[in-house]
Parts: sequence; structure tokens; C-alpha cells
Amino acid sequence: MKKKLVSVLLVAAMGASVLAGCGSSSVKEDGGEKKSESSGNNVLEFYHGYYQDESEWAAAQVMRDIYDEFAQEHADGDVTFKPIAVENRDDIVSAQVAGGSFPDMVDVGGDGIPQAAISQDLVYDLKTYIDENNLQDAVGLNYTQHDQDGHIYAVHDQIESRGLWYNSSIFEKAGISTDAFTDWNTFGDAMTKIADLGDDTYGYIAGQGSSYIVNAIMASTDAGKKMVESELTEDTVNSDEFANAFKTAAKLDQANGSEHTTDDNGNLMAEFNTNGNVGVLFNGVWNASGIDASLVDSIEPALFPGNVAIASAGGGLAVANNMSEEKTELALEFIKYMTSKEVQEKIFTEVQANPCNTTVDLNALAETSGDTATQKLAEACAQVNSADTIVIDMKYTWGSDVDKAIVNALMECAVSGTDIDARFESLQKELLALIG
Amino acid sequence: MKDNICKKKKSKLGIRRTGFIVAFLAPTIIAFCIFYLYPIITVFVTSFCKWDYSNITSPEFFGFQDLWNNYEYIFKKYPFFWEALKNSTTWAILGAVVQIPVATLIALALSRKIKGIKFVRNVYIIPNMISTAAMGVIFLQLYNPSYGIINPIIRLFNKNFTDNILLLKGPAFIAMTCAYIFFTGTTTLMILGNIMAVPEEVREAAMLDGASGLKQDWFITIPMIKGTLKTVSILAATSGFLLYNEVYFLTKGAAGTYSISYVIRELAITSPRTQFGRANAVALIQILAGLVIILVINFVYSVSLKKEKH
Amino acid sequence: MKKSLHRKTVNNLPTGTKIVTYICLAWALIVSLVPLIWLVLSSLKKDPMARPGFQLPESICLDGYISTFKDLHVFRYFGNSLIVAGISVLISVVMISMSAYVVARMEFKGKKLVNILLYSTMFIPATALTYPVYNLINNLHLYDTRAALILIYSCSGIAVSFFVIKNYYDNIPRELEEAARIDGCGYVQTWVKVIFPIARPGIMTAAVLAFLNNWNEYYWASLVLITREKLTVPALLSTFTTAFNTNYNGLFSAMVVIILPPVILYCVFSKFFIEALSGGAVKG
Repeated sequence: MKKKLVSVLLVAAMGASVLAGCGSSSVKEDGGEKKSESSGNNVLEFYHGYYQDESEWAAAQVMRDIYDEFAQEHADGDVTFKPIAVENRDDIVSAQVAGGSFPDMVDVGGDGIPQAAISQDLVYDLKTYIDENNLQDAVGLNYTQHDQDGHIYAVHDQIESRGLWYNSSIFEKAGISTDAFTDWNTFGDAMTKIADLGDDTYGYIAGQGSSYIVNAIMASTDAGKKMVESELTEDTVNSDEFANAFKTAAKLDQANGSEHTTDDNGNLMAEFNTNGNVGVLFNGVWNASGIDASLVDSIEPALFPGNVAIASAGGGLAVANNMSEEKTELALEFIKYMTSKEVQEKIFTEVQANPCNTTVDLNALAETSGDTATQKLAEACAQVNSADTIVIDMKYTWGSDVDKAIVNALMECAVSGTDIDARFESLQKELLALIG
Repeated sequence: MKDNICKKKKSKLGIRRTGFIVAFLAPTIIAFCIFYLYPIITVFVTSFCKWDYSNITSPEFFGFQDLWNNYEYIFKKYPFFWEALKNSTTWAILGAVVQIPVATLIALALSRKIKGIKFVRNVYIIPNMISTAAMGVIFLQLYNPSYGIINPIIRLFNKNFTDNILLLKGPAFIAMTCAYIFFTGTTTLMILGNIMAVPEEVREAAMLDGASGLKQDWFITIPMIKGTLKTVSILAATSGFLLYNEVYFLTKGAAGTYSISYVIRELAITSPRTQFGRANAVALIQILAGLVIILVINFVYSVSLKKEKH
Repeated sequence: MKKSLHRKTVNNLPTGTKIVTYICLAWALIVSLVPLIWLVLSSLKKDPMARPGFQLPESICLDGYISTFKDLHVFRYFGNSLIVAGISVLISVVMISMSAYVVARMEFKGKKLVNILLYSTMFIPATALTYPVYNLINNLHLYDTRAALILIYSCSGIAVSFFVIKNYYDNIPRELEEAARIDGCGYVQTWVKVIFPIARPGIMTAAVLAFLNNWNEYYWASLVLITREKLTVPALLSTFTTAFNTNYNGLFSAMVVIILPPVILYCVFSKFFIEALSGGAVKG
């Protein structure tokens, strides 16, 4: 009996490995074909991160439809446009870059294009194309923010625009008005009043959110703003501006309580958007579509105290260098398409994001749509676009490792009784080591 | 003449033997060379190279003068290395010292014939079927100060406690440890398998000697499964040392909870200033530390075996 | 005879042992059931965050399960994972039970080196593996194929399987082989007919461990597979996290669904498995 079993097992094992051999060789063939196809200059592969099912995130489907439409329009051309949804394009891109290659075209997320890709000259410089076709307004903020010594390597079809959202009924209950957003002192007072309301109501969601406090305070002085807009240097780490920004944020966080602190806003966001027991949420304009129907009348957008907005082009569409002329042409055509008014309007009304094209009339669109979420979005976008001070997210200039070190330090400071000055000193050391 | 035949036979056997060894080792060795040898060599060589975002495809040897540049940075400048090494070592020790005894006790309990034992046996391994990443998400919820289950428990003892335990230095480390250390399903299974393989006759003989229950286990069963205990100790210590997912999902290194694996990934991947050279210096330390772990555990077990013989 | 002996074993347990045993069993149940019950409960709540902890759901909400099965092609993911994890487990277990035997039983030059090298593989960080392996997959033109993943899984986790299996070989008395040799069995025959069946518990354990690992592996899967039709089970989880929120109901439901196949497989095989465990090895 045992013997039989063993022999069956063995045969199965052998069979499987033979099968695996066949399987792999047959799969190999079609894999090989695909590869030759793409290197045969007739397919332009485009990696993007909108993979979610429509039931999970409708905007992902909208983006896919936008891409497919372009593919259809160019179905008759020599080069086929092939959008591919992938879940971690950043890992894929960095793996390819380390191997000395770059995807045909990719919608880079997160930290933007890896420096390593640019230093290897793997990415196409879009500047000439934008200038020649007068796309400056179409690409908007990309034109200035993505300018690296006269080169532009990426164009993001949406602007990552951040301000804050507040719950006006909580404000009313606590007896505060929007004067709370005059400066960070008034903001702090307002938060205390909200915390005093009791019943699990609290000021704001700290942690990831409070890094934007630092960001905004830095931007409120000219010197500080310059520091945020350039790479992190030793002088910046040791500057009074940075010390002031960090300590102010840390004090606010400590008063707010560590139980309301998270390194990922998504963890607690429902408390603001659905449960309605949080006064303020530091989140981008896109939060408009996340507000629960029951709270739609009380949640309003505002700028950071001191009339500051954080807007970044972030990652965006990047094209590989050294592709065939036809492929490059189609890739550029795609960028023109994505920044065109028609598509940009869709990105605003259906994807619910701040479009990069500055010629789109957001308010008019919002009015015609009649949708409350869209109107909120338009309001938020308009506020950001017309803020006194618009500054880039320091994550992009200082790097996500620096940003994370700051968030970690802030989160630790949120614990009651933490010595903020001491924690700041050790943060300074950490940051100096990271950039060293 | 007779001698000659014998020799011939022997050498024929020798060839056969060599052939067998080569044939049976070959697949593993090939897999090893493709997947591990090349990376090991890369790790070793590039840990002495300048290799970062500015020269990603062409690592540059520091030269003998600056040979230890990366290591100097890691040891002297990088703020999280010592913390990470301390944490990872602690987790490795906890793996061998806490997980293995617990797993063994549970395996012993599961080896007894009690009604419903099969149910417990099957249930106990289920948490190990959930990926550590998913477990990380689950524990993040359990530890959440507003709607988790840990803070209400703490509040039974300390009414005014409201802080997030994942941000408190000390408790955060303990909380992370608790997120994985009790799930010893697979380890228990390996030990259980070996316990059940202990021949009935041996136990019977022990029983005649008057040893039963835990006493019997301690004197008869445990010594017989030492080989397995050593193996699972190494595995537990290793996985403790390499802890990554828990750090990533629970704290991202806040409150003094960096681990060696997390440092490596941070330097190599997360940092926009990609630092492969420095990451590989840490990686080499990780490999060496791993070998130390194995040596120590081997040593401890061989000492205890010797003692027994005396 | 045997039966009466077992009964004797239970009744004869000293009180202390009995107490310890029951404490251990209770502990085992608590530790494994707490996260499990929490997970299942949460997956049934419409908004797990609104009724946190172990509160019963207000009303049972199956939306997460429905969407997992209806919209997300769960069975496609299961199929992919079964193929990839299954085949690679078979390959690696056969491969390693061969080499572990040689290392456990035969003397040859470089044996120590083989041992040390295999040990060291446990400590190589994934980041050090990423680029060489990624380039290898590309050069073999296996990018975006299941074969690539099978190749990677077959080769990864060598050390763990090697340890577990070699340890079982070490427990097998040498006399058995000698007997086989005297009966005229060659090396291969001895292994196939005598050793392999005896070491089955160890090999099975290694296979289960490897299967669980491969079933849950996501890093490599997300790196080498692009096409959605080929993705494996863990990819399901990321579907519920969008740019700005997480659908916890869906996420938890998907987690429950994901662990079901291994649990069912384990329960079905556990009878055979435990039999193999208790009937194998040293007894011969």
C-alpha cells in the first residue's frame, strides 16, 4: 500500500516536472514572440497604475477608457498603442532601470522618475516637443516644476493639489469660524476647542497629514519656501525655519493625541469622511469624491493657514529614450492627447482630480455637471490654483526617505510627554545621514 | 588476480557513486548558482563599491584606500543601523528561546490522544496560512487606538491611557513581537511529526521505567527529536532576524522598531537616492550574522548532546 | 493491544501533565482563533471600522464576498496560483529530496561547502536577488509568463526545504540502506524504494511549507507578471486599496476567500498527512 502511494507520488512528481518543462517551453515561445513584437517597433507598451476594478474605484475605469480611446483612434497606424495596467509600476520601473532599460512609456507614480534613469539617459526629454507645439498651458505646472536644468522628463496629466478639508458643523458646534485658518496659532486654538467637545470628536488626523503642516509652514516664509523647492541641504536641516516648522507641527500633534496619528491617511480617513467626528483632514482635492452623502453639506475645502496650497506635478507620463521614430512620435502624440482640453475635462469631471491644463474652466464644468462632489472639487481646485503661496510637496524635492523620517519623528512626538526638542535634534542627525 | 578484480569492482562502484552524487546534487546546485551564488558574489563585491543612483549600471570600486567607505557610513553615520541590528538580534533570540519551547509544548499536547485533538491541530495552523502581509493588516487594525482591541484592554488597568501603542518606544517593539511570535503552526507541525515518529516501543519501555507524562517527554521524547528541534530553532531564529513585513505594515520603523531587512530595503528601494552599495554592505552583514546564528545554535545543541552522553 | 495502550496513555497521564496539556491546547485555540474570528466577523460587517473589535455585525453584509467572486474572477486567480505553486513545489521538493539525501548520507569533497552555501541562502535579502533574477528572466524571454514564476519559486526557499528534509534523512537508521544494498539495490533504487518512502513525512512537511509560501508570495509575482489574466491570488488584496481609501469589507472578505483553498486542502489531506507523519520514519 505504502509502496503504491510512493510510486504514485513519484510518477506524479516526474510527470509534473516534465509537464512543467513543456509548459515552460511553450509559454516561453509566446513570451518570446511578444518580446520580439515589442522590440519590432510596432507596439508601444504603456504601463499605468489604474488596475482597480470599476466596482472598487470608478475613476480607474475612466482612465482606462481614456487610454483605450486613444488606442482605438490610432488602431490604423503602424504602431499599436497598448496600455497595460500594473500594480507596482514603481518596482517594475526601478528593476528595469537597474538593468539599464526603461519601459516604452509609463505613468510614473509615487516618487517620480528615479534619478538613476535620468543619470543613465534613459528618459526622453519632452521639453522641445512641448515648446514646439506650444503646449506650455496644456501641461501647466509640469512646465515649471518638472524643469530639471532645462529638461522635462515627465508630464503628469493631473496636479496633486493639496489643501485641507474641514467639517463646518463641528466648527459651528465648537464655536469657531474659518478665522481659525488665519495662522497656525489660531489653528491650534481651534483644534483645542474641538477636542473639548468630547464624544470622540477630535481636531485632525495627524501623522502623514502633519508632514503637510511642516510643508506649509516652511512655505510661509520666502527663505523657507526656497528651501522646500530645492534639494535638502545641511543648511536647511539646521535652519531656524525648519526647526520652527517641525516643532510647531509636533506641538500641534501632541495636543491632538497619538491615537489620532497614522502614517497613512487612508487608515483613519473614514472617521472624517464617513463618521464625521474629525474637525480637519489634510488631504488632496480628490477627497471631494470620498465624502459620504450624509456629510456632503458640512464638509468644505480650505487652504492651509497663511493662504498656502501644496501643488505638485509629481510623477507623470515618461517616455523611453532611443525608441524608433514612429514609436516616439506616437508616445508624444499621446502626451498631447492626455493634456488636451477634451481629456482634461474628463479627468476633472469623471476622475475627480485637478487637471494640469490651465485653460480648462473648472467652475463652468462644475456648474454644468450639477454634481455636488464635482462642485466641491471645483471649489477646492480653484482655491488651490489661486492661493497666495503655492509650493511643491517636499516629498518630491527632499525625497520620500526624508519625508518618512519626518513623519516618523512627528508621530513619535504625538505621544504625550515626548520631549520635542530632543526628538528634533535626533531627527536632524537622521536627516544629515540620509543626505550624506 | 583476485585483488585486481576487487579493485576493479571498487573503482566501478566509485564511479557509480560519484555519478550518483553528481546527478543528485546537480539540480540543486544549478538552481543555487543561478539564483544565489551570483547575487552573493554581487553583494560581496559591491559592498566595497560606490554604487548608487548616479552610476547604477556601473558600480565603481572604491580602491583599497577607501575600501570600507560603505561600512563606515553604515556603522558611524547611518542613524538606524545599530537600532536595527539590536532589534533583529533580539527577534532572532526570541525566536529560538520563546517560539521553540512554546511550539514544543503545544506539539507535545497535540500528540496526546484527546477528543477533538484533530480539530485543534487543524485550527492551529490556519494563521500560518495567512500571509504575513495580510497578518500585518489585521494587527494594524487590532492595535488601532480608536477601534482596535488592545487599547480597551489596557484601559482596564490604566483608565487614562489613550496613546497609540505602536508609537511608544518599548511597547511598540513588544506589540510587533506579539504580532508574529505566537503563530508557530508550521514549527509545531514539524515537531509534532517527529514526536509521532518516535517508536511506540521506546515509550512503552519508558513507561515500564515509571516515566510518564511530561517527565517521559523530557527524558525520552525530547532527546529523540533534538535534530528537528535544532532545525526549527534555526528556522525560527532566522525568520526573527529577517522580520520585514511586520515592520512595514505596523510602524515603518517609527518608535525604534527598525529591522535589518527593513534597513536594506529602505536604502536600496525606498530611498530616491538609491544606495545599492550601502544596502549591500548591510546585506553582507546580514548574511554573516545569519551564519553566526546557525553556528551558535549548532554549538548549543552539540554541547547539550555531549552532556547527555556523559 | 495498541488501542488499549493508547487509552492507558491518556488515563495514566499525571495530573500536572494533564493540566499543562489542557493549558497548551486552550492557548493554541485562543491564539489561532482570535485573529481568525476577528477576520471573519469583520468581513461580514458593512463598515468594519464603524463596529470595531468583536462586536457582532448589525446585519450580515456579504457584499465583499459577492464582489470578490463576481467581479474579480477569483477562480482565475486560484487556478493560476494552484498551477504555479503546485508545479514549483513538486519540482523543488523532488530536487531537494535528492540533494539532501546525498548530503545527509554520503561523504564527498566539498560537502561542508555545499552545506554552508545552502545555509547562507536564507539570509540573502530579496533586494540583492531582485535585479539579477529580473535580468535572467528577461534574458530567457520569460517575462510575464507563469513559467518565470515557477522557475523562481522552484529555486527559492531551497534552504528551508533542504533543512527539513535532510533532518529526516538523518533520523533514518543506516542499517536500512545497507539491507537494501545487500539485496542488490543500486544507489538510485535504494533512494527510490527505501529512503524516499520513509522520509515521506519530512518531504510532505517541506512541501506544505513551500506551498504555503508560494501561495502567499507577492513580491516576485508582482514583479514578473504583468498581464492580469496571469496574476496569482495575493494580487486580489491590492484591488481593494485605491489611491485614497481602502475597502475593508472587501479586503477582509478577500482574505478569508484566499485562505480557504489551503485550509480545505490541508483538512482534506490532514488525515493522510498525520498518518504519514506518525507512520513514517525511524520505525521503518
